[in-house]
Amino acid sequence: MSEPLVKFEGVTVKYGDVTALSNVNCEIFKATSTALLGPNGGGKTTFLKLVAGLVKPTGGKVSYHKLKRSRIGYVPQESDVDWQFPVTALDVVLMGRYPVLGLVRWPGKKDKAAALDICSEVGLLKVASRPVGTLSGGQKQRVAIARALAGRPELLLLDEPTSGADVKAKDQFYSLISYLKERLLLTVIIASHDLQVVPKFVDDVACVAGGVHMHSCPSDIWDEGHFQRLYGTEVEAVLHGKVPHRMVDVHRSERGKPEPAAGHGGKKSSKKGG
Amino acid sequence: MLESAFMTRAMLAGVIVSLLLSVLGFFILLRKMSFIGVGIAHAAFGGVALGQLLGVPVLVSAAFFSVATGVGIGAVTRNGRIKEDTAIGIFFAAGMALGILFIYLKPGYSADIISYLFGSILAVTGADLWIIAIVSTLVLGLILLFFKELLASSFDAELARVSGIPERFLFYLLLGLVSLGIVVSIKIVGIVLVSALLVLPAATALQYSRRWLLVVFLAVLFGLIYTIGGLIASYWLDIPSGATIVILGTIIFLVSLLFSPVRRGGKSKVPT
Repeated sequence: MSEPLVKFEGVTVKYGDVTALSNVNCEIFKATSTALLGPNGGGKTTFLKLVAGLVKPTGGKVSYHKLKRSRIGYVPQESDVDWQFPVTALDVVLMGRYPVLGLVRWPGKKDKAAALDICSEVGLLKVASRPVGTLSGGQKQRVAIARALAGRPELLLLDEPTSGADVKAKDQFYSLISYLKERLLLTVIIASHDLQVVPKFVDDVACVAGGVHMHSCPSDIWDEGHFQRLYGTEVEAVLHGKVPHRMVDVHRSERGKPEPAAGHGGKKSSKKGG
Repeated sequence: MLESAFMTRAMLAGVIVSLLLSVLGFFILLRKMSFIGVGIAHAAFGGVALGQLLGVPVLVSAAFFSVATGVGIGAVTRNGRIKEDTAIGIFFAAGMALGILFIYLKPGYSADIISYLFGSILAVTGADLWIIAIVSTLVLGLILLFFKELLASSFDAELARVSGIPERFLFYLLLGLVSLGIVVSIKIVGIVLVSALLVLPAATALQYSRRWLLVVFLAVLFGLIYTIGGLIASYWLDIPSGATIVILGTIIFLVSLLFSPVRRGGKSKVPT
């Protein structure tokens, strides 16, 4: 088997007295896609930040095999960005090229052409010259991805990239990521609450709730009992073929049961895990 | 007017300083750190008073105080120990308190200190002009060297860090450069008002464009208009130069705010 691109060995992260991740051992292989699933506060963002080098392990180590830090692209969950910042979408994408250029040298024609190519790949070409603050939420998300891609990453980290997006936008987003992964031979790690991502996209699933449990086949994890342990709440699987299309919080659904998303057509399980 | 040697020096110093502060102000505004200029400038008062007490060049002692304050504010806020406005409020007051203490300890009346507080075109000597020119060249040179990295880290510090840009170094570098910029400017507009010249040009420029290159160009242009216009007005009206520069800048900013193409045009009509 080939060397893992990223390897966690006994990694623990503490923020003061709070343990975010404890004794994590896992491996991420090249050109694979991994979904991080788990409750809020479970450590998904910490996991991504460890890989990105933004957080240092309190114990253990994270090692990389033939992967330079500059070849990691990161799209954070909530970017602390002032969208009134006086830059165009293309300017932001070009920022992804800055580390490659080094000091003094400004982006030249080749860099701009490459950035425009990426804008084209992610569907931003028409709005590339517009100030970034005038773009829609979905377009800003694509700008963030395009910026990450501009540094020609081998590893792309996405932190809850579709939070707040509607079903159609989520579908489009994951299709785009799938396409980019195949085309650019990317390794992708994606933190998400969106269970649609698993059947459609990823090769591996990592359940993150203080610790990390890897599942090499996504369908292995579709057990309601498993999810109840992971999320700490009763859940009911809404089936769509072999794997659940989404999970519903039973307590919330009793108050106002949400309708299944349009066009599902799948059967709904009557069982409740326990 | 320019036949007066002091006015020629003041005008030259004003042009250099407005160029310097306009560029620094661009980054300070983008980082939402406008108030830090107030803290650094008032801390410089302690340095000026210490210089007078010890008989050392006041620009040197003021530079030491200002850089220490700027970096100090950055360090305590960056570590999340206290919020930026709290840190500025404390450092600001401490600098002023030390200044008052040093003035008290110095025998005799310190008339010169007033010129540092409120600015005086008469106070700019030939030696001052050289210091302003050299420091400004150094500061602007470093800004130019790291311009794109400063831009990227001002836009999103975390992403800059991930992509390998030395974001922490650039943060402290910018604070140090802003401190030096403020110190060399206090003779023109004074400690009390220098922060306005840091903020006003870029704030006015942002009313006209959302493209960084144009914003920088306009900020420099507005900075020059404020300084040159303010110095001419103060000369002819025989009123304090620093106050005149800041009042002129405020009027132009308010007019720009009222007729801002960026704000009036909405999202779809941002000027290109």
